[in-house]
Amino acid sequence: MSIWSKIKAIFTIDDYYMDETFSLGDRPIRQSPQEGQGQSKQESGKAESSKPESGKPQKRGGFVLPKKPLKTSESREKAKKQTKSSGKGEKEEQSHPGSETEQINHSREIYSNLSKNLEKLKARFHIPPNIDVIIREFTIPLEPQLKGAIAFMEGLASRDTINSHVLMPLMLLSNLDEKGRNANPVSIVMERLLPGNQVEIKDSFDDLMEGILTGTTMVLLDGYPTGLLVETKGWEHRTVSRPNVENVVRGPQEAFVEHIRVNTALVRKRLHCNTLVTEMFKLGRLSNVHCALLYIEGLTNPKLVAEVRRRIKGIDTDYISDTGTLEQFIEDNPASLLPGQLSTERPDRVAAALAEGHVAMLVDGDPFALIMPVTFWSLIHTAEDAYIRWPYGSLLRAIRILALFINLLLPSFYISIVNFHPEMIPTDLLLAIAASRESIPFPAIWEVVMMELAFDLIREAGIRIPSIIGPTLGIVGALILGQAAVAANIVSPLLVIIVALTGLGSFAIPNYGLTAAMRTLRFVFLFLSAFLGFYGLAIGVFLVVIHICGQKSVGVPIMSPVSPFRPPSGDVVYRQPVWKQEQRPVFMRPLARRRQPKITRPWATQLKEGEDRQNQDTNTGKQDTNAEQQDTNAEQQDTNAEQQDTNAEQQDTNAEQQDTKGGKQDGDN
Amino acid sequence: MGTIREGHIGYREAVALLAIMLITKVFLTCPSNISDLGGTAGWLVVLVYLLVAVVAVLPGLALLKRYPDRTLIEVAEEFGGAITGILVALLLFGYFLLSTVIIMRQFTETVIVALLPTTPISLITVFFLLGMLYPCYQGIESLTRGAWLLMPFFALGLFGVLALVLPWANPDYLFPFWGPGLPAILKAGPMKSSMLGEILLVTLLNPYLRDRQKVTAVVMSSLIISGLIFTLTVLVYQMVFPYPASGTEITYPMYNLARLIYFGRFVQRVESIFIFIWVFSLLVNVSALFYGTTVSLARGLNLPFYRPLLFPVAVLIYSLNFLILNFPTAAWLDAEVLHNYGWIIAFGLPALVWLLAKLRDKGGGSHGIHPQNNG
Repeated sequence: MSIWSKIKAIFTIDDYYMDETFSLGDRPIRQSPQEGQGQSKQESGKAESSKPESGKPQKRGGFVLPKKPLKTSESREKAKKQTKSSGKGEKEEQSHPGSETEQINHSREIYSNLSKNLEKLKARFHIPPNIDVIIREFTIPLEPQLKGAIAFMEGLASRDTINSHVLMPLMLLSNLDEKGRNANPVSIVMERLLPGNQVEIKDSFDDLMEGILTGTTMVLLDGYPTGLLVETKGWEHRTVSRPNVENVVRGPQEAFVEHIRVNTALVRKRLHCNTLVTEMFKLGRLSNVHCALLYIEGLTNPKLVAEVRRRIKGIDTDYISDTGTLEQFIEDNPASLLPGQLSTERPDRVAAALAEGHVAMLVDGDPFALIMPVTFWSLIHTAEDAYIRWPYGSLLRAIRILALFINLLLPSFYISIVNFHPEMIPTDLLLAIAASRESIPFPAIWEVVMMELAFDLIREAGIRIPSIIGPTLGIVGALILGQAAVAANIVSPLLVIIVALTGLGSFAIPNYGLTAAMRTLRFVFLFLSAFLGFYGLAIGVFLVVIHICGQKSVGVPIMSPVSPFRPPSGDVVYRQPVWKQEQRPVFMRPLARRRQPKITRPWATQLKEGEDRQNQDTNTGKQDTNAEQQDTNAEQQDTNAEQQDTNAEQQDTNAEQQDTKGGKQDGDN
Repeated sequence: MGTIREGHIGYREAVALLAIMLITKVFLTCPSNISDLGGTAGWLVVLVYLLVAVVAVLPGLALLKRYPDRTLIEVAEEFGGAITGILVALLLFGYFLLSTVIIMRQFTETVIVALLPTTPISLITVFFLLGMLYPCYQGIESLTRGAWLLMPFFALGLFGVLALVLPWANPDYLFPFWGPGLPAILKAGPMKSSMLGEILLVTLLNPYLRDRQKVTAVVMSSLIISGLIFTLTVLVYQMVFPYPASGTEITYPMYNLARLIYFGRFVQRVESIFIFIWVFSLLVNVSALFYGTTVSLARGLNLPFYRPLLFPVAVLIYSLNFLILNFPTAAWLDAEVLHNYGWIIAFGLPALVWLLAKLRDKGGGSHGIHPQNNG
């Protein structure tokens, strides 16, 4: 550009600068036929049809009629079936019929020709530009020589394993073996040359692709229409470490990590029983993430397992990566105030829940497990309650309930009393409050809302703040909330106490979902009480009670076993000694209701009648002797609880008739 | 008949709902009325009408046990024809509607007197309507469960008030023991049994009981629990406030009792706290009555749902609420109309339908199983 043209440009009025703006919405980008490989045909079709409309002003005006008829659930089902039957990513009818190579690339077939297969693989994985899939071609020195290739995903597969257990035997060690020359080379490779602990022969190209995506290594041989998958998973993940959210003083100090197989192992190492079942599902068309469903066969109600399985299988979405998202897809009532699942990072809690007859879910890449169904009471439980002796455990729970009430109601109470019912306050206190509020220019509600918001700001900032500058936050928060606000006559000192207590109350609630619910409700109650005093507050509380009483978690009323009333299992708020918790919770409708025999401490001197009972009941005798061994070491009792369960299972077969009866009743209900 | 679907009501939950419903009157003017009627022996009147109610409810119970899967309206329709069914439904509708309106007006006036003297009554009523609409949208299952969950708080609040005013109680105020005389008490009993007339709701809840065989236990437990608590309350009330004043001077007996509480310097003027218990119990009561109103209308009209009717009926209640001139009128309606003649519907109607069914149903219904149970 010459200097003159630059000067000219200054005086020229045109829209040239408009050319440089970039927008996703203005012009439709033509979709390449291979785009959206993981998506079903319908999805891509929808994207295309909606693309020209998006961003255009015509959309703003009013209704935009869909060009295609809205999908009914029926047609969606149908489409799903189609995609299933035709395999993932396969498109028989493209908008452009496509060339022959395209068709080849999208078939499930594995060809005998290696180069054809590799070409197809490259097309499927978009190589180039994609660089994550590594393809290595080589020759196997068998007689006759055989061409082969491996493919794996960089980063997901373990490099060492591939070098030493796949490439080395195939390339170097294969000529050492003289026997079995006439056999099929595929079986030779499979049986003699691949020392990996999991090797599978696959006939479908899609299976091979799926294997590569999950970190296994694919082996293809020239001239044979089959592929081999060698287990070489080895991606980076955090090691098992201390829990971040659910800390305990007493009890196991390990938490889930982002690797699902580690997590299942963490659970399994607490439940050494053959009846613990792990089912795997794939979630999300794009994320294709593993989701594990854990339950104990023969203990967990099969109806519960079937329902959860049905809900997981029904999810049709592109991206799920964690239990938080999964939770929202499978909860009973999305409008519920309380969480419908219990999310925990503690394997011991999951194991204990499984032993009670719950199901648990894990998602790969997320260090949290979901326990279903959940009751309101389990939201205020911690793992520690069970690990310390029962009086302290019960006390802790009582304190947490108190914390719940304080957190929820204290600010609203303050507002109601100050605004509407000052006669309730004893005179001296009233004078003190009046004196402290005398210089404050704001109404009480404004004061409270301001402080609550400030507190929530600090809390939110505390979570998001980079840990290096974390300590500053404490100083700022303490100064703003404590000193300066009072000194500046913006809030009264009494209010600082109330907000601080409220905050403490919210921190004492162990479940994050419950805390969030209480936080939301607190503001609602604040406004109700500012508006109508105790009358408004009472109506609000009543509505919340009714709401909560109507909520269910996988069909189990969330307030059970209190309302609706069920025989208590000794583990609601008041916590019975562990050896007295003989029954599993009735509302779980477990197949085996009894978790331990009536007498679990036969050595106890104060249990004289126990011996008589033991003699009467020959069936329980065996279990009691088992239990005796366990009980001699009273400290280990907790960790042995699972073993007791398995022991008690035998006994449960006696009680099973009763239970199946109960089950029938349940069916009616 | 429409199949209105609901969840399941357990024994305890049902008793909690019905008992709270029946006890609620304690918070209104009723103890005063009883005291006025029975003089120093007001609590005996309560015992007598409790006995009468326990007997009067028997025919209705027989009916419910005979046809456990149907409500009163459906039984009436089956044995008396469509017109009878609609008539019974309308009577139920009228009874519940009147009860709802009268109680609501009384309570909103109480709120003005006790809590919010400057707030317009319409606003208080609107919030009260919200408080009763939501439980009915949620369904009777949630309501009963909520009632059961709140039961300990009721017990604590009620017995708390009664216990904390005991320092003011003087047993001498209970004499003369027979008050106006035994004949007068016995005469007052049957009429005042209408005080327990809201037990009629059970005829609409019966099909949803988890254990339908327990309907007798449900009815009897709720009657006896609430009756005895009522007796105790009137007893304490009359021990604290002597007779002539207790009958004529005091409008809100429980509120006045709560105001008396002075237990050291810190436990005093706690009547505002007890407002919680009152609001809860009134909301349970009115929600249940409102449910009864709407469901009897829906069943009478053969509708498969009742929820669409909730809002219109709520508007109707709201307007009727203001047709009542003032608080004395509402109290008069309550004491002199509903609580004197309510028994005709509360106990008479089920008995009549029972008679009808007994005459028409020859043998077929004795097992309680009918081919067309939701036809």
